[in-house]
Amino acid sequence: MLKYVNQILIYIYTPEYLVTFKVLRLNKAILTRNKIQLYNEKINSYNMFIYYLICLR
Amino acid sequence: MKILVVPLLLLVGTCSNQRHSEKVNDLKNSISYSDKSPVETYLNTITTEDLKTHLHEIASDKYAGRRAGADGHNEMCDYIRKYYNSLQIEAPKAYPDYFQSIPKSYLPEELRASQNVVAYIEGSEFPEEFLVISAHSDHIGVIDGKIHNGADDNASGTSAIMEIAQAFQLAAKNGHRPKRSIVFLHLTAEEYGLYGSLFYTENPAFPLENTVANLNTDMIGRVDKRHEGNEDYVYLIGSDRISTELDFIVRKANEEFTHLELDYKYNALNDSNRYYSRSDHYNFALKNIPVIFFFNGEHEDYHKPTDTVDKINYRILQKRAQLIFATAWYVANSDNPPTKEVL
Repeated sequence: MLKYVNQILIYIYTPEYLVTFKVLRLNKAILTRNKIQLYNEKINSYNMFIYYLICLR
Repeated sequence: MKILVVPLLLLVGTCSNQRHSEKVNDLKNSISYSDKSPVETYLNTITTEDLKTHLHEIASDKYAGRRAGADGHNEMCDYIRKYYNSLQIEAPKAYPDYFQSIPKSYLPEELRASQNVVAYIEGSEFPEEFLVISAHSDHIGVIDGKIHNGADDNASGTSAIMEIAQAFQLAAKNGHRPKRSIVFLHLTAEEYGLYGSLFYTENPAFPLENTVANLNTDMIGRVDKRHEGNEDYVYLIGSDRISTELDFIVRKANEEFTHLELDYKYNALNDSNRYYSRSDHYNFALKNIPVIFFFNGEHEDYHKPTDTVDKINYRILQKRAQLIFATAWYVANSDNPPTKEVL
């Protein structure tokens, strides 16, 4: 059984900067294989780390 | 006018509901084993002793946690290959030594080249249609000097399909050859991102368009916390997502032969564990092949060096393997493959 990285918060980035909130558990290997990169950035006053998911394909 | 339209809509709605439930019932009622006795006979050749022998071998220290591409994993694949050869279960023509090699360039950087192990029993009536029974053979190797034996993950599933294979081969030798071909597929590099099954589905030993279903086993030898005191259960995941008929088949197999509690908790579309995408059946499902994932749930020893053979419940492993066998028997011998339709 494939192990997943810890639960992460994901915003899907779009050109309009419209963000869709999703809670997912994803595997880093699958993301890498699909040429998807994860970026993290501090974005709000709660000092919370949020991940942006950008599809490079 | 409104007075007329509302009852008309209600009538149409009722009729369509009725038609749907009739269709579901018809499908359910159409599933039956024409002769239960051979299924029972060969199902009983799946024994706890044999499962234990295979599982102890596969999860032994000499294979050093079966990291994909490492010497230990290669030697264990050799053990599986020799087993099929000894039973005279054939290798596919494309891979006459049972090994479907996967180059290093296909795998994550940290892994060496590896291989899936493929064996099959040719069908008597529909040899060009294939049922794939799969389990991953790799685990996570040695971490911090500790061997991770992976007795449950996934020596349990590996030993189960080896036993299922011998049961089908014995049946074939005694005049009960399956109508469809059955492929026994031991996949590599599952733990690193389902690479073995991805490679297989991109380079199938047998045409995917003729692959009627995939029954995948990953962790079927333990009992999770939810079922303490009620160990006769198995989680089914994905069985109704592509083919309602396949789900009805596994339910029927269970009703007739194994009487386990079929737990669909992790089959929920919104389940946060997302098990549906975390084992090898997923790559088959992505190709629109009906799948069932058999699973015992997570436990405290998951991906730890403490996932050892002494914690395996062989009685329940046997029952789950028998359920898979009975399901496979139906799929391999029915007049038509499971319809790809969700009712």
